Amino acid sequence: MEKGIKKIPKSYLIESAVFFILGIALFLYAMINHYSGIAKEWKMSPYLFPVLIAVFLVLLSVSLYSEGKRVSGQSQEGATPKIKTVFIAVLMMLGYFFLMPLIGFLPMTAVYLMAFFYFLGERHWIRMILLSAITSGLLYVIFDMMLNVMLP
Amino acid sequence: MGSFVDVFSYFTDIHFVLMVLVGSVAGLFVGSIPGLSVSMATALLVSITYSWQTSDALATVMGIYVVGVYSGAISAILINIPGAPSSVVTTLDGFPLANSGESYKALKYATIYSFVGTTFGFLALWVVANPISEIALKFTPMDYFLLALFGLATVGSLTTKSFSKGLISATLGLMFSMVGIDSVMGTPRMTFGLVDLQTGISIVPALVGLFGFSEVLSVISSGHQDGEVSKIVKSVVYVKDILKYWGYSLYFSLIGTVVGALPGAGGPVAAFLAYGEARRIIKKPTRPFGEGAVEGIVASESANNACIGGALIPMLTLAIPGDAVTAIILSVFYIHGLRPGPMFIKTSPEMFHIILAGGFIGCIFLLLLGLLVAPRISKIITVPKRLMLPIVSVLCVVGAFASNNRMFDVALMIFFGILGYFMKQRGYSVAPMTLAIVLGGMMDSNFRRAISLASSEDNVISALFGRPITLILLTLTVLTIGANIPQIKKFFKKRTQKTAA
Repeated sequence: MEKGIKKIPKSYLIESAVFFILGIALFLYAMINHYSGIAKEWKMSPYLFPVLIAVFLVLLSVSLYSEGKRVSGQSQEGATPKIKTVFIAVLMMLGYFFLMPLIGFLPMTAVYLMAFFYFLGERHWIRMILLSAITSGLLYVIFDMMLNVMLP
Repeated sequence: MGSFVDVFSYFTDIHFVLMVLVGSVAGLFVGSIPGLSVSMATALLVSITYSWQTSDALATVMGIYVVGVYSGAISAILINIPGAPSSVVTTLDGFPLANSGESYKALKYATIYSFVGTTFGFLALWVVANPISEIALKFTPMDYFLLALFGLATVGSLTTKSFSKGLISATLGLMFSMVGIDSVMGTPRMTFGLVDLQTGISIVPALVGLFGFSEVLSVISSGHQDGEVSKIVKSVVYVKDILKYWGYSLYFSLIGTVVGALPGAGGPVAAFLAYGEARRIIKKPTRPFGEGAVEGIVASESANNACIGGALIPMLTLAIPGDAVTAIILSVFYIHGLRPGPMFIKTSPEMFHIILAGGFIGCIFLLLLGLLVAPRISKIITVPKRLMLPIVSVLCVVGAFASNNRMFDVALMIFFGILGYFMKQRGYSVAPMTLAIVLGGMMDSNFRRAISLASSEDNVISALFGRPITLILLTLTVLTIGANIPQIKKFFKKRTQKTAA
């Protein structure tokens, strides 16, 4: 058994474990809420479908595990993703999200765009300033004034 | 006849035609720029069209959809990077042809046969939508549940290499669709005390996150390489030479329409199938396949564009989307208070006509933009990603916020963006999740209704599965799932090998 586990690619093992735990958690959540809720009959219960989903998820996690066994030994190559770059991009987006209500949509969008342009390798300062200012302004004019779409 | 007049009356409505044109121009750019997808543009558009009239929203969406699917071929031909997954096959012959100095010819063939394919698909939608609606009227709640399950199973099996991963993506989508106030009992479910979750997970931020922000992260992650454009030298391409393949094109379009109507199969599968057929039936191509055969472009472009009309058939008649874009279009309907399904064409014929008119006008713009503008936009399709991606991420924020005017939806968009990114990295397609989020509520209510109705009968099993339509759907679903189980696959493979030996 231990030998079998060693063979499976780590990613498959982690993923199947995550989905197995998620399935069990969903099953328990649905059972507990069903028996403490108003609907005692399963046919009317809001938790009938979540139970089915949970069972299905557990079965699929097992299927994923056995798939991992089959692909063991096969190369899992592919271009190495730039996780660090993605992580910084997400952090920038979170910063944009949290600071926007404090600073306002227009200035924050301009700052965010400038920072993101720079982060992705743009070094032409005039282009960066112009593009971020024009984009923020255009978004305001198009969405807020022309399309009557509220902006954050 | 009445229907014919109703559809073509929109051709004289300048405002309607302009809205389709706006969508078509947007589709031309979005589809041709690798990294921007039609699904992403449609998802962003859904949030903007909240306050619009339904006809305007549908006109723009149809323009984006029709021209966006076609324009994926432009970058496939010019830079060997398909602008959309359905144009992957076009690169096989389109780029070699462009590389040998005939990019103008390749673009012309792609345009003409995309037009033929799209028109064929919309004509098929017009002809078969009504009969399918008549059949769908006989559907019971269990049939709807099974149909949606069949759709998710096919999407799961066709969009990823691993069936388990495809189904896990769909199952997670179903789980997300359970969040919110239960439609039957009116009690909160899976909200974990968060008031913002009581309205459920809105489709728009989920879609914008899965198709927009996750795409931004994926492109950043892959190193955002910009392609090199083939030079376009204008050359004389005779119409009679182009039209030589119309007969084949109709056959490839038929393949595209049928594949498009199967939930989840979509453009890439249709294009591959048609390309395979082209190799089989065309014995003497102009050049060998894979080295710039125009027949390859004809097959790929006819089939992938015909998928549009095909994918709209189950969406309009059964409320089961055929692909990710139609899943998003389905949410446009829901947002505007429309309910696609068997009664849709009877109760909202004008909406059906708007879709057809939008599609046909979109076809005309496809032809015009493809012949006149496409050869001139080579510079735009290589707009540096370092400038494009930040702007797209801001559009994702605006799009997610606009759906309900609340920052919580922006947070949801970021969550789904990150989730979508990791899913793509690990080989989980986001298409099954999208379809499941859209279909989950319907599956839940129909399943419970079916169980509830059957529980009052003497024989529950026969009440649930006793009808011929139900049995067919059940068999199809079981076969789809069964055929993808590796052990069963292996068993049949062994048997076939034994028989052959």
